[in-house]
Amino acid sequence: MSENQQAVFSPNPKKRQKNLAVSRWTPYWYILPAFVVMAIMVFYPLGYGFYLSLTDMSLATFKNPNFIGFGNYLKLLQEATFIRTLLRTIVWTAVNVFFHVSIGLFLAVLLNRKLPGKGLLRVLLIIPWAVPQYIVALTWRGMLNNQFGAINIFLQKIGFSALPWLTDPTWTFIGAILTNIWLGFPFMMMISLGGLQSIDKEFYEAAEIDGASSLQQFRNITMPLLKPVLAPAIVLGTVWTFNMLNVILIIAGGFGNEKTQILVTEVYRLAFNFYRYGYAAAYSVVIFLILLVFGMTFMRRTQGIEEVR
Amino acid sequence: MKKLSLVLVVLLVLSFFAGCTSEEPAAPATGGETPAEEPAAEPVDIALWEQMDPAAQDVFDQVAADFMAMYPNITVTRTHYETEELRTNFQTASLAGQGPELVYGPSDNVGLFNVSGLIQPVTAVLEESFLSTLDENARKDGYTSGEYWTVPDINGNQIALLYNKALVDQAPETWQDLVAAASAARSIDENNPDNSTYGFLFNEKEPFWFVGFYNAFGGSVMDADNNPTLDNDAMVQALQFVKDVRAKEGLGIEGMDYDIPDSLFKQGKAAMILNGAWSWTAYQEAGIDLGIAPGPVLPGGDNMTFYNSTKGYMISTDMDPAKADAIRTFFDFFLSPENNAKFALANSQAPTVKAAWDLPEIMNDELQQASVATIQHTTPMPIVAEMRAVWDAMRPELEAVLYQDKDPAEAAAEMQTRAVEGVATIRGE
Repeated sequence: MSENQQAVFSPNPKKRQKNLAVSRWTPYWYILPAFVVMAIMVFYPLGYGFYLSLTDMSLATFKNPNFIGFGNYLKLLQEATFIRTLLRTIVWTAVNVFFHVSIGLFLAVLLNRKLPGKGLLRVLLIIPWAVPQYIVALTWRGMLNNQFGAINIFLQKIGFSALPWLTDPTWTFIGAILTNIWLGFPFMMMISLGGLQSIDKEFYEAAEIDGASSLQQFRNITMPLLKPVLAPAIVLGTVWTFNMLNVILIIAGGFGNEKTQILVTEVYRLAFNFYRYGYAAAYSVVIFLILLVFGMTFMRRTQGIEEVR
Repeated sequence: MKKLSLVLVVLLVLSFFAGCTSEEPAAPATGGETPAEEPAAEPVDIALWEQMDPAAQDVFDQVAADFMAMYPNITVTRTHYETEELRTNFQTASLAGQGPELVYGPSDNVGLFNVSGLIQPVTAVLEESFLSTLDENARKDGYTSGEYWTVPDINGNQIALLYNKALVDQAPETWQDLVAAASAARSIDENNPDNSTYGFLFNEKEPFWFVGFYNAFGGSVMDADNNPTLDNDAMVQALQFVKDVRAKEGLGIEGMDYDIPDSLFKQGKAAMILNGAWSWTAYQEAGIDLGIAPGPVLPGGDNMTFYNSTKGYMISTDMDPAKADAIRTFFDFFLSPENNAKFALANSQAPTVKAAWDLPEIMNDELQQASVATIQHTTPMPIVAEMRAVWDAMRPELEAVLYQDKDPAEAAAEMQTRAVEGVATIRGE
């Protein structure tokens, strides 16, 4: 053992602390760079956002905002628009995530079997994910056009009447949901496929010997073993969908009708149309808290981060 | 251990706050501390953040090169941003005292920047004699709260009646003429929309187009105190009129947005559309024999009166006063008649320097002359921040009248209520 090594591993604490490279502080030196980046990129913006939400920062008070405590939060919670928009956002998120997971999982199971042209199919199914959201939304907006859109032309060809996709706010909202479902299922499909491919085939062989049906195999082998992969993906998908701005704004053509808006578009409208920065920050903090509570509860309930027993 | 973590966190947080709240502006790249006695001799850097079209950026770089060759002590640094990016970045940078000296963009930024105290009146740097060389209509567009806030260099953005000369002989002067010309040019194949030719199309759901009708019936979206004025007879008439374009005259397509008229006109499948100055060059490039005229006179009203707006330069509140001379020199050069004409041609919009109107390159340009003719039937768009609340309030009600058979009087009342609420939100009331 060299002299230096002797100093490091010496039972004498004074000798041991001479070398900073290997000491009880060493792990903290390793994480310091990551901590600095996190502090700049995450903690500071979060803290500043929270601070803004406690002020009346707006156009008139842009340079000298006043501290108003929880005034913005009290106002927000008393607003009927907030409750309506929150409920709409929950519907938007639940419907989207449900179809993302269902379609994604269904396709993943299909692609996990022996299938002719599987490679090509996989590429085709990833396309919605690979194309920029903005382009996808614009394309769907064109397809939803009342007169020239492909969807109404198709509906009319098979004997249905054209739907007012872009002129009736309820149908516009449904159109936005359809667009976002199309955009979101490939992510769930890829995650599920990765999970499925990591499941040992022996489980299924043993189940077949025991006489388990396909449905029983899916329920008792596939789903439990997919959970550690799928649960975090569902939380991610929920956060992304909850905060989806582009699709709503492009399909609805802006902030036109309240019936097409969700919480995050309301934040954008308040901040950049009405310049109520403090109030918009309060909205953002509430969104953050909703998603934080959901994420923690969901992961705990599904035991998604625990090892499969 | 916990103590060390705590100390680290506190130190980091304090250092970030210290960095972000520093009141000292960044040291000027060159010559920020110019001695007062020799201002022209010291090097000066003028930072400009702009939202220019690509063609205008090229012209700017050429003119800037000429400028810096003539005044070697002054450097102009241009940074490009898109519209929203420019707004937010300028706000954020100004908050930290790091903004540029000049900001270039549409005049509707004025309402946002001046209320926030981010820009100063241009008269703080420029003499009245300089401003008097600019077109009065353009100057008015940057005027609010008793001060001029922009140095406009192009004027336009106005919507006009565009017609395809292959389908319509001459521009209709009245609404009745327009309906007759549109009906004559119209030929609809119900089974195949691709074989159809449309008479008259416009973006029916966008308030920026709708105000042309509202103004024609004597309406105005705001009063002198910037309060919304939307619940009146003019609004009811305008809403009913726009609804009747399809319902009674049979013109147009349900759900017409920006893209449908634009696309069909480019394909030669629309005889007449309403569209803005930004689009005219593209139609010529698409091979359309383009005619441009003011919107026709409406029955019981006046000419359709759309908004015009300018683009121009704003001066930051944080501008170092030692740079005032250099900035004056910049404006003298960039807004000379010849250079102003270059920007106008690059943007296909009217110049703002009065003397530029008489230059041959402007006189001989077809689009410039169309711009001159149509801009006389426009009115400056209000530049105050409250305008956002007005736009926000108008659109859903306009759509409700067009697509959900809402009574125009009811829609006008609802519009007013929403606009008043929006204005109160913006003002923080």
